[in-house]
Amino acid sequence: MNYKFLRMVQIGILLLGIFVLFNFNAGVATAQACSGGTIQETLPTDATWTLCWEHRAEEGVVLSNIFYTTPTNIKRKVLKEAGLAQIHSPFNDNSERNHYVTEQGLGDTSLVPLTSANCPDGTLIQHDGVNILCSMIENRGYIYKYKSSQRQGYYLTLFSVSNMNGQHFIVRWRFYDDGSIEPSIGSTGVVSRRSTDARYGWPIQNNSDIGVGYVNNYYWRLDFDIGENGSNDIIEEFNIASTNSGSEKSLTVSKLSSETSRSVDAQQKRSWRVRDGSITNTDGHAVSYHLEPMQMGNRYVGPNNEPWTANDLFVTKHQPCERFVSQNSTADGCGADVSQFVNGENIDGADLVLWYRISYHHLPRSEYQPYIPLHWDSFVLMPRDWTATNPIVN
Amino acid sequence: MNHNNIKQIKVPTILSGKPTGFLYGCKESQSTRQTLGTQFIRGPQANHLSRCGTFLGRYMAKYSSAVRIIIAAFFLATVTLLYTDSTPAYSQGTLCSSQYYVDETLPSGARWQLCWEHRNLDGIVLYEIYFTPANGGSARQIMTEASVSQIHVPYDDNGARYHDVTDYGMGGANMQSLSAADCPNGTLLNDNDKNVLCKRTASRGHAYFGAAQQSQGYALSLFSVSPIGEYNYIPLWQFYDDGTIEVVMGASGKLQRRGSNDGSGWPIRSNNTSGISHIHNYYWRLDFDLNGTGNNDIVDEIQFVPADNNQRRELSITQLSNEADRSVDPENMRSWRIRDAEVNNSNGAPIAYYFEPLRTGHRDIGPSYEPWTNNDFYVTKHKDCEKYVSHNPTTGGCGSDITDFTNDESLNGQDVVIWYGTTFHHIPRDEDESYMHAHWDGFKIVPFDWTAFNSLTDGAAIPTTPVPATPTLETPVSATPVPAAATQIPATDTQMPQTNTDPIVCSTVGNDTAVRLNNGVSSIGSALNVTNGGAISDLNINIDMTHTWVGDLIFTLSHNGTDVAIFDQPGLPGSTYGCNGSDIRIKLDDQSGTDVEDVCASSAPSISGTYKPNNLLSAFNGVDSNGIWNLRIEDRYTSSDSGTLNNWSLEICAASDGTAPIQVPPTATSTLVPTNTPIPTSTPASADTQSQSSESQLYISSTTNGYVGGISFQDEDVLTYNNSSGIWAMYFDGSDVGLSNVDVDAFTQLDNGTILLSVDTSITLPGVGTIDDSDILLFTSDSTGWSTAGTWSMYLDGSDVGLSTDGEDVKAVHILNDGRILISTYGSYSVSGLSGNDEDLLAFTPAQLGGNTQGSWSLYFDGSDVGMTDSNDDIFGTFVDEEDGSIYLTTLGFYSVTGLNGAMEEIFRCTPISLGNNTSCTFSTFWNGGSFGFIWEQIDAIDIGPAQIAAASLQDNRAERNVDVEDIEDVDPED
Repeated sequence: MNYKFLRMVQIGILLLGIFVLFNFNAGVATAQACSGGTIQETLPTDATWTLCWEHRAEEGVVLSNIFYTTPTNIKRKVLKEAGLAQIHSPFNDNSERNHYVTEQGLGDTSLVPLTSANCPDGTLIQHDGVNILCSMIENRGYIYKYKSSQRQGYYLTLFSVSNMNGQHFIVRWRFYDDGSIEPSIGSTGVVSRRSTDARYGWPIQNNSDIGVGYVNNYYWRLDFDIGENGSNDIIEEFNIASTNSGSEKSLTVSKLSSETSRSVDAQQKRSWRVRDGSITNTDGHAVSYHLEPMQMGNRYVGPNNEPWTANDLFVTKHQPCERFVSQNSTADGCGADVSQFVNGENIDGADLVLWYRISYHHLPRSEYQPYIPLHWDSFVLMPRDWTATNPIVN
Repeated sequence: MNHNNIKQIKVPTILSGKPTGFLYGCKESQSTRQTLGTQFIRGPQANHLSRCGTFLGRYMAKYSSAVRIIIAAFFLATVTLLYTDSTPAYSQGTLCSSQYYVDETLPSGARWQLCWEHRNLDGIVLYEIYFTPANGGSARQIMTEASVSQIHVPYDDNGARYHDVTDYGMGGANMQSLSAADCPNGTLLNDNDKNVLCKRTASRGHAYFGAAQQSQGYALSLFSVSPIGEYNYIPLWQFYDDGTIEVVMGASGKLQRRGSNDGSGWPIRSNNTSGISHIHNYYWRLDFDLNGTGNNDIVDEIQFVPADNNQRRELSITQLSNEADRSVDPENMRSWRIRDAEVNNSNGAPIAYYFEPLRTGHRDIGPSYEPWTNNDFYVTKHKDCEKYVSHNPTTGGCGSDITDFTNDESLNGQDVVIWYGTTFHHIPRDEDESYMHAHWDGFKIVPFDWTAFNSLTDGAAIPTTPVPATPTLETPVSATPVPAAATQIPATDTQMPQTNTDPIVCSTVGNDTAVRLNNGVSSIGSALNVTNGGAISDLNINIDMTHTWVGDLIFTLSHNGTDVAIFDQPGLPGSTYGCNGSDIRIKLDDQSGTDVEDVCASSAPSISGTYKPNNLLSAFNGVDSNGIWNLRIEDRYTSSDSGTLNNWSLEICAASDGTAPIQVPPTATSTLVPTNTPIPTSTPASADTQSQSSESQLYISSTTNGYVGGISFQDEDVLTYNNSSGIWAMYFDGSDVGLSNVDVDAFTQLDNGTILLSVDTSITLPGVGTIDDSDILLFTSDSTGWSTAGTWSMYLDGSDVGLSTDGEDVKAVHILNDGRILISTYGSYSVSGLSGNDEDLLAFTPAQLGGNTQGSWSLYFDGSDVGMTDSNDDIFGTFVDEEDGSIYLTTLGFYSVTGLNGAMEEIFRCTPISLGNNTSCTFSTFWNGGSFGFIWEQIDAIDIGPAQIAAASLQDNRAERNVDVEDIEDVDPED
């Protein structure tokens, strides 16, 4: 394969992307000008998702121009682009500190060719003649249940699988009929490091055969463009304070007006939402998406030279060269990691990018052999006041 | 334990006449349920709605008692016969009637069996939950009972604080009748002519993904719906085919309370209406009975605590030996496991279930009058009247909430109940009208060493245990598998190569000076110097280099006359010009599974990550790492393309004293010599120890609680390790004889089988009264091992003979054949005629022992004469072999003595040249615990005995411990 030719092709794709961007700024709010492929699915409940996908060597599959259309035909853009920004995996014994997205890349030959067995009742989607993406519509149980009435819901599921030297990651996106988006990563494969040192893991075959524990820090890059364009989105932080000796709670909503690094705070039930600066629903409330951290059982703070591990959410103004949470190319004068992207720039009216992470500590056990039981980590972006009432309830 | 397991469930059932459900068919009565390990409160608040009456029971009731016995015997015989066919113990009609029995075999072959019932307050309660793995194990009980224990809903405005389970009830009139539309592709289960439960088997996506295999997983789910006010709760239990149980609560319906807009809610309409925010604190009660026996389950808290400036995470395990209330701690990766004290999987690990606190994004500590909100995880001893986390009925003297239940009672030998809570704070939104989306919260309990391998696989793909060449940090999965024949090398084979006994130290040495490789230049070089190195056991190299055509490059590493081309024009000869990408940022590691030759990404750095070198770095194994290392870089096309070597470094693992070991010949078979074989069944070819130790029995106590060789131990225990069999066993279980809260820090055995020991703090013992840390106790044992029993008496009263200060805690004891008592102290000492420090051994010549001790002191061993001057060199344990006079020692920390250094988990030996005021020794390592699973333990008491005695006691130990090795192996699929 001629790699230098491929580089030229990539530049071409980039130029095409700029062209697409230009078109959107001109107000052509369709998703047909995708640089990769287009996916449009109307779920049995009549909600529709429309988006582009493209293949990249580093992130694997990246989604863009993501639109949600309610059954009552309210169609708005949610995200300009959504993809992985790093999988950072330090091992407990410090023997490896992997940066899978930038070092090996989840795309190209890392992508596992999928078969129909991987994608039951779904559709396989090709890139360069290889099935790399599975698209499925799945039942998700109750949309709601109220006494004797109920309705069953669905989501569109997209996933690809990347093999990183035996570690397998399933990069999955679920688009709910109620407008929620659930980015997820499944982690499976083989135990990649073994040792005799019991301090750093757990015996998996006998007492001296230790599967070394490791943390997967998953980072997503979420470039929001709520409504027509990305230049008038506002991010707010929600905190719940305890008052009156804990018997009452009070919500404080604070606008984040410059680039910032934030951490979860379970006792304050801290969360964030991105709202549009002008569009409101018919109740007069700003349309928004809410990021509420729920899956936070593990949280990794690494050494000082890994500053991207010190926080869970980073908010930046969009810069094309800011792509990866760590090991970002500094070629164009760009920062080397997300802590350098966050440099106090004003984000009022800026195109917002959210970088969100979840940590999961893999503790091997006997059941990790020969293959690790798949573990899912995910979070939900949920519409808040996107519509004035539940969009899939009559 | 396969057979025993089943017998425990079934045979006593009939012979004792206890769970009469089998015989009489109805477990309606209180006495019936009591015998199943739980008891129901009968009363207006907890009416038992389910009705039972098994087929067998009705059948049996028609017959006279004599006939019953005959029929019972017939069924007993039938059932016993079924066990031998590995039929799960639990079949319809034994523990509940068919109406309330769920028996589901999932498509992968895994099977779940359980009973359910409907109660007024709890709603659906599951009980007698059994899992049969698809492969690798038999049916085992997990829980006796599982239920929702409270839904506590305080509103942000303090306008309501509901306790939905106890104050309204999930069952009875609040139990929703389900229709087929609620349960697509499922089955509705009926109680009292109402469909109350939906049972469904559904795909759960990929169960695992490997290079050659993938598998779709399935889950059995059970849910009911309980409208309470406007809310509809959906308790959901998902039973995965891999043994995981996902415990979930859904909340849907309509908003219960609205108000005007203020900080306690969110506007939900165009007018001034807001939905009031509120918290759902969900609690579950899980009564575990792993493997069917409720009184031997142990709960451990597991953490991985940041160390080494956050570069590492180290394991910490704490047994919760008393009732406890615990909180999640994400940064310490805190979790819990509940394990069986007796049954191991065929890897020798105790079978367990593991709590993964995942949905912890919200927590809420409420007002002080709601103390149950302070924690997330509670462990209690089972009590029939403790049912609800809050608003528990106090009739019968029971506590009113979970904090009353956790009153520090010992959990030792008790039936353990775990209470788990999760919190969701709900800020309403416009979309919550008219109906609210179903929001799901919960947690998972995951099988943890329940089977010896992933039970959804056949286990065949498990890599053979790699035997590390040396015990270093890095022993990857991809190491050469060890043929079975290799383990047959007899221990006495004198031809067997020996490896180094010095501690292995890993370090990184680098050169950051950039070197330019210009056009027209054919090669550049860079060097670094290694000092304080030693015999190499593993070597990796990191290289960071920019270059515009990496396929042109050859890297050669040279040291001590050995040259290895570690990176040799990747892509060649597979393509004409090799990898044409730019830049290299790599680690070359022999143990990597991917060859650097095969990597070439289109974007820079083109070769990035950890790979296997073109030629193996193991060529340097055994070579002394000290001295100059050269890295030479050749550019094979000098006319174009250029670059810069930015930096490079070596990661060297080497024996710390710099002495090269006896080299292992570089043949295929010789690399398979087991240098450490800690598993009990493995060949006892321990090259780490010398011949004496391989015939001896070690007795060891640690300063902390821990786990080794399938044994969980406490600091008050003394373990024994047989150097020829490699088996660990419990020798002295301190908690059996009143030492639960102290550390045994000195130990020796007398010839007549009695034991001398000392502890680290004052304690009161029966027959002796209060003793302190300077006293030496005599223990006359009736039995040892897991059921240690005996009587105490005072042997040496330290305060009678000048051991009175804090530092004069006796830390080591040994008796010489002439009757002198050797001790060492924790700090400096001053006794009659003598003073000194903690690195000395004192000899006490007794004139009288016991409550009025008299005698004189002399200096036996002066540690400062032999370099024991660091605070880590505090003597913690000692033994003297009087045949050759050798003194065996352990220390507080990393020790350094003349000519030798090592770690706290080692026993090292002084072969004396002279003793007393002018001590001089030749030192050698005797035993390195780190090679036998005893890693990072401070050994604070040792004794050494002949192996043949030990072998006998070992048998006793194992018998007492009631681990039937043969039975365990029966469940090993490879047998």
